[in-house]
Amino acid sequence: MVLALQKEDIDISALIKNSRSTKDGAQVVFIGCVRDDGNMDALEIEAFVPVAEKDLRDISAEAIEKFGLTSVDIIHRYGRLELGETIVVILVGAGHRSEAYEGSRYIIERLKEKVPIWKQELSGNARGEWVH
Amino acid sequence: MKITVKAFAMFREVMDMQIELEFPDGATVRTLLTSLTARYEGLSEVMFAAPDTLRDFVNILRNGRNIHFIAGLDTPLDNGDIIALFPPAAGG
Repeated sequence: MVLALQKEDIDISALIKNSRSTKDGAQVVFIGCVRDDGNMDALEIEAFVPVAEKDLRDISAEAIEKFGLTSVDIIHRYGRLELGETIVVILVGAGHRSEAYEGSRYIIERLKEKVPIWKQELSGNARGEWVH
Repeated sequence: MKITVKAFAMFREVMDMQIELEFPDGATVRTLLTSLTARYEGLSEVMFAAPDTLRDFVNILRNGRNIHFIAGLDTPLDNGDIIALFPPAAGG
């Protein structure tokens, strides 16, 4: 399982290949990316990394217990991300699709609610509002 | 005692990202915030809805644990503590 914050892009294919086991009947991948809202050309993502890493471990353990997942990988990026770039990847494995979909949804909602990560809109050299 | 304060997101726009401060024994989070708001113009408005009342969105962690679950503004400080100030999470 990979639970990490990083600046580099995420190799989703490698993540899927490394995570899959013969216990899996389903894998669900959630990808969050930088949307063009028309008033910005990038996002600056800031994280309180040590606390965020602990929160990812806690959320992963919660999801495994709650939905019987076979695996959880969560990688969230930080730093400057351009339009269309990947922000976060959540990969879950489960015996059946229902648990996989539910577990994936649970993890992204908990991440948005709990993990100390913030986004600021950037337009040219100007810094905009912090997104909540 | 020496306390390290880390500020994130909107808070680091009105104060340093990281600062080390000295306090006498018996200091609390309230003592720390009084010192910070005296040092940084504009921080009080961002942080407090009224004197002694933090705005709802303000999160304060002492060594990774929210002071809401310790003793709020009366949470005692110890030498070497790391205090983090930040708004609600917005990742994903």
